[in-house]
Amino acid sequence: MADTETQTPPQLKCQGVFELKIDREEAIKIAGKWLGADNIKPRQKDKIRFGKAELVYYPFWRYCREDGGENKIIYRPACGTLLTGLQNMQRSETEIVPIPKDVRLISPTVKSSVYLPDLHGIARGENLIAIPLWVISYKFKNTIYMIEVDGVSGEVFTEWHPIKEPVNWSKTAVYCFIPMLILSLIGIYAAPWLFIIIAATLLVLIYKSQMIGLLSAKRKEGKDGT
Amino acid sequence: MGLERSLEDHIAETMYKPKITRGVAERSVREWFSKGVKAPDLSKTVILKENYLLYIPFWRFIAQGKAVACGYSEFTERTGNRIRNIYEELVDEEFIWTECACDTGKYGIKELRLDPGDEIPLEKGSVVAMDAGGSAIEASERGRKAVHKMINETVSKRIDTVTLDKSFLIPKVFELVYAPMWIIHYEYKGGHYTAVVDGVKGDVIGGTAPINMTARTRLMILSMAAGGIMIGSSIAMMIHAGVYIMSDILPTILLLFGIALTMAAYPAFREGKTFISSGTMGNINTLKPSVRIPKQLTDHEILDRRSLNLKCPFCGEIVEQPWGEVVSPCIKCGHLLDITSEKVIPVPYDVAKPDLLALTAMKDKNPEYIPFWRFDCNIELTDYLTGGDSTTGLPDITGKRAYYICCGDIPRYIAEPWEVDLTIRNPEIIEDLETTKGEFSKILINKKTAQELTEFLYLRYQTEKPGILQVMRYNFTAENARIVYIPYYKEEGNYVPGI
Repeated sequence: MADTETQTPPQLKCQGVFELKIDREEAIKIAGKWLGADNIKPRQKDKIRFGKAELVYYPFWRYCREDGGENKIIYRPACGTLLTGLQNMQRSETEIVPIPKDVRLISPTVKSSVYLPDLHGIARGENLIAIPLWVISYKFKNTIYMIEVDGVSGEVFTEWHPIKEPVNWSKTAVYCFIPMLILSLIGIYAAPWLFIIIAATLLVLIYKSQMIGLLSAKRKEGKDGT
Repeated sequence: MGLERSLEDHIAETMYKPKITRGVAERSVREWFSKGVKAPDLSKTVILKENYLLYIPFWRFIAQGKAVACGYSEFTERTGNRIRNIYEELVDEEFIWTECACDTGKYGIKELRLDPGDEIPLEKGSVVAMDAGGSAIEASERGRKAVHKMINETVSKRIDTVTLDKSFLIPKVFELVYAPMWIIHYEYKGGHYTAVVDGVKGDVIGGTAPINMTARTRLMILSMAAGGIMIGSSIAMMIHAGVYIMSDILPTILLLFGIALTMAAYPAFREGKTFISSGTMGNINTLKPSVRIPKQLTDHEILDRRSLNLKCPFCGEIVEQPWGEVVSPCIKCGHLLDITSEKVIPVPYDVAKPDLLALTAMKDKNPEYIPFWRFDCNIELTDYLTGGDSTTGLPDITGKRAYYICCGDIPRYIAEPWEVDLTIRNPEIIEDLETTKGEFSKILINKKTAQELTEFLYLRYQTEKPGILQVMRYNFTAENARIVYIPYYKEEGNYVPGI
């Protein structure tokens, strides 16, 4: 197989890119900080293993529209993507630099006319630019996750990520398993039929009351679900 | 290896039109929030972050599956008699295989759930679509294997014990289909989740959602307590059975069952943070991040680029195969050529002579020459068993014989009897091709498929004989492929053989 030269039709060429301001180390640092801040317990933070960090330039259509007497800049991805946060991209930067050499630039495949029916205001211009994104993979508890860090602003675009658990599952398991094991050992030895009745009643009570789950809860949930 | 240019390998790109609006997709997702074991306050607390239409590419392979299957089913009567019913089945059905042609990352969408029929040609750039990745040849091979498996499953549903099972397929379409999907990203109590809505039917076909914590806790408690009871009871029984008479094996079974329940339940409920929509979200933990990276050219793209200029080996004329044809004549010299993406192979051909009766009856008409692949086949039968009387007046086609497979644009139910007739009685060939008058039909089935169909022709012929075929073992070879054009006259929409 041959390498792709380019599959971009002549009319779909990026005119420039936003200048990269965040390097690889900094991007990983930002990702680590974000993950540790709210989503993973501090003592488990060391269990995060960062994998590849790829710098990918994503093509975007930049539409300049005049709406209600104001000039608005709207960005829409110029390629098919499943990454989160790219559909409503907001930027404060306006300076475009030429495309650097040897970068991973995704070919634009979507014509600008695709988004026009959804845009408001009077068209004042449009151009095709690329935005650098650090796409970082990381492993936490045998699961591979992904996070994107904007290569210009350092903003984090969140994908599916680990979340803190309100219940201590190991405690719950132990509280249920050990007493039942001991009870059944003694019960079968002494009075099997009586034991079966007691065990069944206990199970129903535990199930109904969620007693053990609440006992081992790490934090209480508020009425509003917070 | 390049992609063979043939009907089954030619890749058309089509797309479905979305019938569901953004608002309807959102409503479907909100309804989905309240179903299953998801967080009970999900529909109230959720924050929808993004909702956009994206076209996902799928490989689709449609083939006519054909199989000969023999075997038996047994049952015991009340009287104790063992009854065996023997069967001989011919499968002739259309099978459809689909596979997602891009990395859908964490969403794990695997197959297309839309039926063929409402597609329109894809205009590149007019929709937001994911790029199709991977090799078309490999996808086509996977499709063939999957269809063979489907045929075998169809056979095994009909017959309990299969004694003879041979499956074949005639590829009809191999294409890339783009299906519209609404991708909805949402947040719930700090977690990020996604739902994928079918843009045609409006069903939620994949997605992640926070699980119902109460249900999860209860299930964990129940399973761990039950496991503890089972293990504890079994150990107690092993130590002392008491006055109760019970099997020795019961405590062991109970112990093993308890261990298995505990070991399975604990990791399942501990890690079950996310509800995964059934059937479409496999391998959620092992999928690669959905990073799109510049890729190597696929076979499909090589074909699109038409990078090679292929020439006729006889006259040097640049050749290009018309869409759908697998073997076509050179425009300049008329030789039949099998044009692949890499080379041009000449295909020998003959024309059958119309007989005197047909020439007299169809005096003012010119025949249409329908192409057939002709193979020199050799079949050595090593084992043969049938149920019932198999005496027949039909000629035996075992041994060395020329087999004919129709490769023109003729429905198979019409072509199959012709193939048997021609195989039993081979046509006479015209020596002077200059004298032939009439239209020559296009060749639409390639050599490889036709070669497989020769074996099916033999098996089909055997099943048509009286008696119920049960066992047949044989050595089969088919070689020296060539095209033979057979004259047929069209009369009131029907074909009348000219030989």
